[in-house]
Amino acid sequence: MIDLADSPEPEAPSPPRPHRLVLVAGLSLMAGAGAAVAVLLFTGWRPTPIHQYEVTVVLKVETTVEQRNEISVALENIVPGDGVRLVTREETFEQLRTAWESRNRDLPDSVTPATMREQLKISTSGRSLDCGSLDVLQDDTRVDDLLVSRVNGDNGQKAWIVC
Amino acid sequence: MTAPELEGPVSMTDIVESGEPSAPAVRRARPVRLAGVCALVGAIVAVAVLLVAGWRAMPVNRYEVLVFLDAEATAEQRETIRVALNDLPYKQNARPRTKAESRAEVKKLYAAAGDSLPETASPESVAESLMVRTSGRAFDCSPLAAVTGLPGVANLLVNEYRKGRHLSSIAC
Repeated sequence: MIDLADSPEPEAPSPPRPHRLVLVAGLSLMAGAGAAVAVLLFTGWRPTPIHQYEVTVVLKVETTVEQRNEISVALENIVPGDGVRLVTREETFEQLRTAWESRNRDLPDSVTPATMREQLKISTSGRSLDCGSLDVLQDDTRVDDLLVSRVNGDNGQKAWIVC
Repeated sequence: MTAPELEGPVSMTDIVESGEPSAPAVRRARPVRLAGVCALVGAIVAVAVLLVAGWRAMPVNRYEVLVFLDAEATAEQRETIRVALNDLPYKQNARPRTKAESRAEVKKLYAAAGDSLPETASPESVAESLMVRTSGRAFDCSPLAAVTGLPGVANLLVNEYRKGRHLSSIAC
């Protein structure tokens, strides 16, 4: 009598019932998922927003069309975006003129579209932008300036990234 | 017997062990193996769901908030700026940086860009600045709005460092 009640032997060999297996499966699934989430949290995983980036390459005044095309191709290869957009000297001039006009000032005569610098722009979206990948362009002697703007995917804040 | 009932939930183990006699030891191992497989599946599904939901590894970075002061900023304005900086949700207090420190910084920036400091950049011409350090996985620009508009503030720059390496700077 006592033997039968205490020892698990007569119970164990009989196969586990299906509903118990389902329970085991369910609990294990949850435990596995929970452990994975805990490990990821511990190793620094967090929800990461997708930001909008715009990279602007300001070319030197004397840059030729050929050189411009070369840089345009390089830019397109580095930044996975929706194509490089050219901002012409005239467009830059117009922007400058309207900016001065809004402050009720006229541009000096020496400032003409020919003295303006062309710009190449490319937009991309991503969780981060690797500044190091832009080093090639930054070091290019035909590139005068490199600007990166970011619109935060979380709160819409606009900021400049200085690479 | 009750064996056929098992085939639904543990069909995989049944296939694996089909050649073996159904010894009690094997039967006891089945729930354990099932638990292991399910835990693994659960973990994989959880990781997949988080990846799709946009979770990524976001290391903790160190941020250095630099507030450059106007050369003509009055002592009163400086004090207001300092207080405003200390009111920001950062653990540390703002610390003024001397012109020499600022100049060293500017020199470093020029060196990084491959240029030497222009002759005109005398210790006097370099703006005084205040600095406050913080850390986090991302930098939130919004609290800085309380400082940007203050009179006497010339410029504001946030340097981002990861493991001591300068990643980028953010102009909010």
